[in-house]
Amino acid sequence: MNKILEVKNISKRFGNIQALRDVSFDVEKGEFVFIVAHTNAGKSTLLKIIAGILEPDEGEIYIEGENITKTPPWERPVGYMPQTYALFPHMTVLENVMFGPIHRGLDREEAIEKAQKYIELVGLKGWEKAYPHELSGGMQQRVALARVLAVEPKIILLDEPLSALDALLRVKLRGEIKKILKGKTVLWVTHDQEGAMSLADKLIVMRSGRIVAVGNAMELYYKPTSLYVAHFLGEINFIESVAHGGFVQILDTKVSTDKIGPVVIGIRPEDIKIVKNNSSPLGRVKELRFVGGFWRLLVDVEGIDLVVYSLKRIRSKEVSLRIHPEDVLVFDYPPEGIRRAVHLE
Amino acid sequence: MRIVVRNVRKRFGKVVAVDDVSFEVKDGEIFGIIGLSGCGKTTLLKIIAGILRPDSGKIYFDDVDVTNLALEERKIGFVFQDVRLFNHLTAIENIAYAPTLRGEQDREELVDWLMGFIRADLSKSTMPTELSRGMQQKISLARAIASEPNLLLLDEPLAGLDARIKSTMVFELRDMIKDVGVTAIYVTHDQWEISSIADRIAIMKAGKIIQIGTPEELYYRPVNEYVATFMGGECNLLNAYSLGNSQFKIGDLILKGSRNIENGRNVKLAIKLDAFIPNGRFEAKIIERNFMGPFTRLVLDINGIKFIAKMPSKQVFNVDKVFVDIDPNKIVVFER
Repeated sequence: MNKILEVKNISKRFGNIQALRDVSFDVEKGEFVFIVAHTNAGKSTLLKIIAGILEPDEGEIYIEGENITKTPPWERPVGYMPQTYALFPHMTVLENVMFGPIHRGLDREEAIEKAQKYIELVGLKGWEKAYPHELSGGMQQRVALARVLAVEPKIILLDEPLSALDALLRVKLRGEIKKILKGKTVLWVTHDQEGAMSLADKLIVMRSGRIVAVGNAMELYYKPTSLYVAHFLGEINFIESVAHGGFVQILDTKVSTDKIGPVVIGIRPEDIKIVKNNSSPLGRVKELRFVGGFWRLLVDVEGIDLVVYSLKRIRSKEVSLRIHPEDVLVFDYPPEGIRRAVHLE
Repeated sequence: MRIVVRNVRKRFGKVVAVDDVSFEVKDGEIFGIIGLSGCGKTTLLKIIAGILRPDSGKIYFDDVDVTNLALEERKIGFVFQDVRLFNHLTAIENIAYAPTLRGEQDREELVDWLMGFIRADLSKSTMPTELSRGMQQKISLARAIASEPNLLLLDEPLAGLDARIKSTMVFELRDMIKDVGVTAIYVTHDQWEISSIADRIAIMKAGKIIQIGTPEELYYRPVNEYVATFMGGECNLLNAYSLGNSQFKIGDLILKGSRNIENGRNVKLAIKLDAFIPNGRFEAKIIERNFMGPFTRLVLDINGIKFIAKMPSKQVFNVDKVFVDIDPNKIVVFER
């Protein structure tokens, strides 16, 4: 075990709002961890507590085994990039990036050397003398990243670093940031579950101030521990059903389960296969949308609407569907009902 | 209501914001306008709404010239990025606002019907401020629809919402609009969102419309490299030269494209990420992978050439190479 960060039982309240409830997790050295959650789930608050900008009501933070809960932010070995990365507008790129190292006691020459190294790493060599307003949004983002890197922190904390950028640039930059930060310990907070899944070594899913799942992206996507996590990580069909005799049934597929009574069956749209086979259950295509690289169908089978993804355009009004038992998830029926159980805000 | 925009121009000082734009929106169609900020889409929307007058050109609603009609005479329903509900009225009163003004008897029925759409259990006393922003936006749309507009204008209604909320709401909005059958123009800069909601899309750049088509047409038949990279996010753009017979050479690779170009000519190939079909003849080493749920983004090395691909996740589990074919229909050929 090579734990670099341990977050233990952190709680935080703002007035009547319980922002964080008993949050605990570890980050290992060199791990790329995403905290992914809806707006107002407490994820930014958690990051600020780790950075030392906010104090928790309860709980402790350890870095390399040392309790730093009471350590002021500037003495913590963390590099924190807030959501509004607020570069100093009156300083050049070089001065912005030098600021941290100088603040932490390096002399001017050393600070310049450090700054230049990281400006080059983020791909901005040649822009040292430019002012922030002369740079594009994506470039400003990289300056902010260089500024965090220049203090050579043990952990890098990123709060929604791409939220200010448009969709196209976001996809491009998130891959670049991952490359720049390769080998570093990173804790990245976002609401974008797809981006998080695509880059994370480990995913922490939060909901309303609590951690509801920890694991790698594929585990959580294919074997989610709750309806909430299943739905949060991507589109999924939920069908109410009843389990008895060790089985539940969806279309003509029987799935064994140890649950008894009311259950919810979960099946991902990409796991419902359109087959050329007359013996499979027939559905009526109610809607067909091209959503960039694949087709999203709404199919009515025996009164149940199923979302189905297809790589090919489907031209017929009726399709035969097949579901493999190993792709089916079975959840206990939630006492609060499905809609509330998966509510995203 | 059919909407016709004919040769519309608008200039602000030296900047031509809208440059000779013409298109037609069919009755009951959801028409998308997409472009980066500053492309002129918001100005165009304001001209259609009657908030701005064009320097030249005409706007028709059905066959009526409305170019000089004021905003209120055009009967337009608006949904904006920033929710503008009446916060002193309940959510239900907001939806029923226009029917009440009209003094309609059956407003209860209409409100019930719209509430069914929104799929929410709101109590009679729920105020807009108690609701999430996504729900507020649905109430805005319901209110706009209840005013029985000639045209619905939606300007970035989902901007600023969480990714996952956006991806469920976009289909809900489409259902609501399609069920009443109102004609709508939907503006956004998000290409995924526009593909999910619009029947046809116009791509704008620097005040001009570059291409109009269905989401599928814009994706697989882009007229230029700009559209190719815009619709779909990422795209492989590679220099190649034509061997005739729709064949193209890149390095040692020979690929079939979607059309023929005279032998020996230099071309640029835009290869869409979903062009890579498993169980094909090219051996592709997987040098990078990003799991994205249903699909995995891959960087492939085929004969020393790098390609970005998106393949169904379950087909590329635990393998370090795949054999693929590249679908000629998903290779767009541009002359250089």
